[in-house]
Amino acid sequence: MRIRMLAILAAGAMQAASIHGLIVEKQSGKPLARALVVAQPVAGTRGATRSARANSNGLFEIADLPGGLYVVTASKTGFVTTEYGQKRWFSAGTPVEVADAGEISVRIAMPHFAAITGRVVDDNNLGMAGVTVLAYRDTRPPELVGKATTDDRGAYRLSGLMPGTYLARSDGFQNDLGSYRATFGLQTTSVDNAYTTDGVLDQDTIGTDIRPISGPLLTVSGRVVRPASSRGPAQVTLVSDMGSLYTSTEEGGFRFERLSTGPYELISTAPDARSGTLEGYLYLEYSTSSNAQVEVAPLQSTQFTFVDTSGRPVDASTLPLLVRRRELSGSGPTTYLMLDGQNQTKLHAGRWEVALAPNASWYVADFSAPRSRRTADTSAGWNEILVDPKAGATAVQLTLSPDTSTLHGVVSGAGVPVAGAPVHLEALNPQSGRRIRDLRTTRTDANGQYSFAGLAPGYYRVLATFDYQAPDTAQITRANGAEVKIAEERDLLRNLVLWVMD
Amino acid sequence: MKQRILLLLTMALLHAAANPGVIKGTVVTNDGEAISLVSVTLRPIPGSGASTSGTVKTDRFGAFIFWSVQPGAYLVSASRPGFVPAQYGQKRWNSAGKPLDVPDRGSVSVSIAMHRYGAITGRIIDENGVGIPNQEVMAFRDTQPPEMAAKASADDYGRYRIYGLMPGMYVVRSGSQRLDGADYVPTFAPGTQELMHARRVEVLIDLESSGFDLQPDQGRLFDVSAELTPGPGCSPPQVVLAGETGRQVKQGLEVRFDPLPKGQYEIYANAPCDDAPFVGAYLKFAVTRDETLSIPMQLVQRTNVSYSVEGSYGVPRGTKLPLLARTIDMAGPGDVKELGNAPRDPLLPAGRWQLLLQGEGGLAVVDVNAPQFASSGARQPMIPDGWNEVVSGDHNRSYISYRLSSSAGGLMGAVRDGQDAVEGSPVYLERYDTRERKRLTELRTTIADAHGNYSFDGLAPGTYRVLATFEYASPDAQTMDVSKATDVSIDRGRKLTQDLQLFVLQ
Repeated sequence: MRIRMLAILAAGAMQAASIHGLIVEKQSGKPLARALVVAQPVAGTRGATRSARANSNGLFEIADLPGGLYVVTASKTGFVTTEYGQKRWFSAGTPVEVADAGEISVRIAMPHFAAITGRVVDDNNLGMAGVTVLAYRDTRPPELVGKATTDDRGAYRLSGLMPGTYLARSDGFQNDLGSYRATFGLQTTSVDNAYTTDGVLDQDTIGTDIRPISGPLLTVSGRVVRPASSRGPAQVTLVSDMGSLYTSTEEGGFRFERLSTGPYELISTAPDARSGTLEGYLYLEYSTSSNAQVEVAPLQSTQFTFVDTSGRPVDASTLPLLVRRRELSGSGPTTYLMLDGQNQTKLHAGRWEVALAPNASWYVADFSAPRSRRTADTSAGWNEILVDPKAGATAVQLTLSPDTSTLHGVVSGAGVPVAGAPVHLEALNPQSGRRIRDLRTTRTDANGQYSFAGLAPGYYRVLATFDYQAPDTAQITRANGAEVKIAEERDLLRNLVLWVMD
Repeated sequence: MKQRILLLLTMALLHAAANPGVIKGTVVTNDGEAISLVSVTLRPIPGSGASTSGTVKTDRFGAFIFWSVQPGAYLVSASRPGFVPAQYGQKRWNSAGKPLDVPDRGSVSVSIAMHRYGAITGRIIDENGVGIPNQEVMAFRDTQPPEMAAKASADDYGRYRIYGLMPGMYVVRSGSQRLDGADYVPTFAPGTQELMHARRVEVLIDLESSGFDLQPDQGRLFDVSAELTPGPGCSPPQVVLAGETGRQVKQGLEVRFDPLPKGQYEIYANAPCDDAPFVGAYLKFAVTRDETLSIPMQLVQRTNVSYSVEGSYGVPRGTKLPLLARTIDMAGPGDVKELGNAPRDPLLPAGRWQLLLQGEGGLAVVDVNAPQFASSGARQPMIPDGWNEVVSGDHNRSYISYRLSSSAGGLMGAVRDGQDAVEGSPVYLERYDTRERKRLTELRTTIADAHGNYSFDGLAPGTYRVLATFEYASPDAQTMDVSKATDVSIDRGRKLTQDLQLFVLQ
């Protein structure tokens, strides 16, 4: 007992700091039982990330921490994850500073997500039940972000949305009453004439009613073209911007009914006595098709080649390569790309995207691979590969440059360094003014120092601010983000002044 | 009497020279709003001279029209998804329709009001009154045992709305959920484990019963997984776990179920194979702890169904005996499918099944025997002309035998209101266990003809109750009680005559 007390005392002397506080529902101030609280040390603060759950009264305590700076984040199902000190929903949190043997109390008020409500009604304003309603961000092309089903009054509620402008669209459907095409509110099939609705946190915004336009739905049918050695059921997947549909065909013929207009991709796999599995890919432009021919062929390995800028091969075994599926409905989850000793891997038929994660050694200077007709938006540093087995083996070449640069400096506010300040870096195409890679974000350490390594040459803008968690290009412009031109192999110093929104 | 003869003569004359009439009408909601795309169906009453039948749809003004209708008496019914089916002449939403008389060369106008189902709303909240998101919530009919009627899922504020409910008494119960480190166990509103303490909700037609908040208890949910042994050349099985609050369907040889509350469950699994129809497994078990079940799959044997007809060697050729089947588990019965005409060895996937043999062409099912129904737990009486249970994939080969009789019973008579014959009166017949005071099979309904005559055929011997009334469209056993339904006993090979007085609610 005595020994144990001693041990606790000793530990206490070293790490006696504690963060405690209260998590509440922003709307009502009611305590949020069982919210998860995470304290993440800012660079320069010793110790690991720690977490605790709030008790029944919304109270939590994370004790025995080394003194220093921590970003405190609260999360709970149904609520927007919130950092302590966030000014607005799009702001970053401010770190809390706790002295050795000190303690600090915080209160985090968590908002609910935005929701958009409305009704799907017929000509007499009677609600239509069981209709799928889709929520899209009001972008071009619109990005699918949510789904709901109407109840017996025809009412829908699209929930779990971040603030922003949205379009609501009823999916195409057929029931006892008739056949209806996918329709945006109020009553249009054209995205440009569609009503938009703004989503606001903690609110149910009353959006537009939708009157589905009656009309026939489309059918896509066709055949899987395969050799005589292929017998047994072939799988056919139809991919649209609203997700995927599957069917299985013994004879090779397939048919997808009740579709809305839009581009489609068809992916097929079929068993084969000789090579195991056959795969095929077909892209369909905006059309109804009664004769889609999906030719399946043995899947061959995708061959990756890595060379440096002088054409010498590069050892790929340590490269952090990322890969994800690219579909009309969006990108799939990102995973590491695993290659064998010959730098080969089997990617299934369809569209893929690869990227090199930021690293200090290399950046991608050039990329070549077969592309689809529908060229993907490569603005995020992701490069598209089309795997089409009937066209033979797929060859992908990445030209890597070792001449990466580093950007670093000190962030100060009112003349003193700011610890734990978020710093955002975006790579821009100077001609188009568009972002060409994913935004990179870091936080300054206890001395206000920040650093980005592994940068490719080009134009960048950098912004230090607590006011944005993930600013877009327009927001960086508004905040006067500092322009930086990076040439090859440089260690560039750029001190920044913390930007504060008025 | 003289008058009556005159009337009959006149009617006969009219029929002889029948000139078609027209039925026009509108269908509206309870608030008087027009309803489009309603299916309106015309059904003639036998003996009234009526002979036109068919279905039309209302236009966007809620209007419909039947051209060229033969004079006579008709039942007019209306249906549209989301509305309670309605009939012309209903007193209330749950009454039966009255016949509509179409005179020679006449034009009649009708209006039919349709009602919406009821709904229950409320919030699922935690100990601080904060909504619990995504919580599943169910409405059970307040019967013995409670019967699940509909379910819904709470939104991110914990708000729920269970809709499509027939009027009546209900209790509301939450499902189980593991969320943010808490295990919520199934709880009756407002916050009890005991059915007897649950708050009763009255659901009314066209209305929403609101404010039924529920605070689920926190308890312990258990992690249950199953490892199934495959058959050679078989696909991964589909595994269904059923409990009293619903089903979980998983695929694979190693499946993990969503966390379960303590209680009784059953599992059935089936997998198609290359060279055998399929392998399967069925078991009942109790969850009291975290556990992994080992489930051997074996070849599912065909169910042996035998038929015998009294006084006859085998089933006479050309006899129609459709055998119906539906799966049954703790979460309720599944869809009904027909297994064919008197099949001898149907292949039923592993699980509990209920079979119903329909006697037609003068044959009635008079006896049934299935020795294994004990595996379903409670011993249920076997009802020859009702749903009877067999278990497939449960080690033994399941079998059931039916005995039929060509000397089926029957019931006929006239419906009168005082001395007058009642045209088009609905007549309801239920097979009733007078000792258990329980309905044994599904309600049978017929409509009296123009002279008030009704008839039921192909009845198995036993005790029945019969009721003639316009007051109800589908009376349950309790309603039959209060409406003073007439007890009748049907004997083998006899057609009983029983005249009925029309029941009118005072």
